[in-house]
Amino acid sequence: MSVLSNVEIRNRIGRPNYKDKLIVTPLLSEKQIGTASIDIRLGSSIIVPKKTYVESHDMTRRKSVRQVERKLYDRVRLRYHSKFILHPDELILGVTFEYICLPHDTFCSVTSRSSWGRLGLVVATASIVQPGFKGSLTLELANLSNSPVTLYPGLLVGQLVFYDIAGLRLGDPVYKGRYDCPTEAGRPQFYTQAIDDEMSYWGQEERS
Amino acid sequence: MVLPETDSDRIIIRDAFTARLAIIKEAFVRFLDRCRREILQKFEADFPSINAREVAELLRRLEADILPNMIPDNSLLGVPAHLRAILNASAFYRQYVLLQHGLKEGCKETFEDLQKIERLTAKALEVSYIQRDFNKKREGHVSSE
Repeated sequence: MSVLSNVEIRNRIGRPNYKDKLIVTPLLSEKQIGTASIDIRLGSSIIVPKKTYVESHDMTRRKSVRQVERKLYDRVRLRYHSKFILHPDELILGVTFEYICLPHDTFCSVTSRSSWGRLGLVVATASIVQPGFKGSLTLELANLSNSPVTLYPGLLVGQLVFYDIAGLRLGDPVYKGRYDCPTEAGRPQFYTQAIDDEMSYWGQEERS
Repeated sequence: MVLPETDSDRIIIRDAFTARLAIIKEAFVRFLDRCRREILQKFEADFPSINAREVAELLRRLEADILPNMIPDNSLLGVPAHLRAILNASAFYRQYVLLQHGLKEGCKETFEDLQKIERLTAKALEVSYIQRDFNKKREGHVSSE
């Protein structure tokens, strides 16, 4: 597994076949492609968690999962050139402006851009994107600093680092996740994949 | 068909629509006629023709679950697609999906595929507009320097 350079990123973007092409669209500037990464922008769709009075979110309990998925979030559409203030210790879910398709031989990770990171803004915690993924990425934006941070849709807040995967060929099964071609910020979705079924086993509900 | 299937009122809604289908169709056609007349009065021109190559390219992208937002031009950034090309490609592809599904699959799969087309279309309209606006401002900025 190796990190893709600027040249290799451009090669994969330039592949003629949509089935094995790397897509990050739209790129508004060629400068978004760095030495070994692509800078990504904040999109206009965000989800803001509400304050709740529950003791905790126990995701091994299906009832708790339903409450979290349906009641915990407010979906907001930001206007371009309008600001959104992210307060200290606040977490919101954002989305990338870009739509991304990863071919069978590429996976990527999402990280903060260093300047924003130094300001205390973290953009991604669930940062691995599997080969075959298609969609806009949900960003977990957290302000770890002591001061509010002003955000605008379109700002370059994160970067994608791409890796080459050996051993997978075109046509091999790739990512078939719980999120099908998302274009908006997505809420957490538990129990939509078979592997999540074991969660209730580890909790207290099945034991009582 | 009324979706989602879990909606407890779907039978009532379906029956109400079925009983009044002829009236609803007639009203819808009248509404479309009125829209057409008002739009033509307002813009005093025919709609510009659509570039078939653009629409074909966007259809290729939709078929591969890719955002129908831009036309490749051998550059890295491509050219943002026109809104009318996106809307036409989306409408064509919706028809294609409906024909492909036919009656062989349940409503759920058709519904999910149509929802996906709508998501991709909405995002493409948003980002291609922003890309065009960004390019315009940047060109203005560069020329004024």
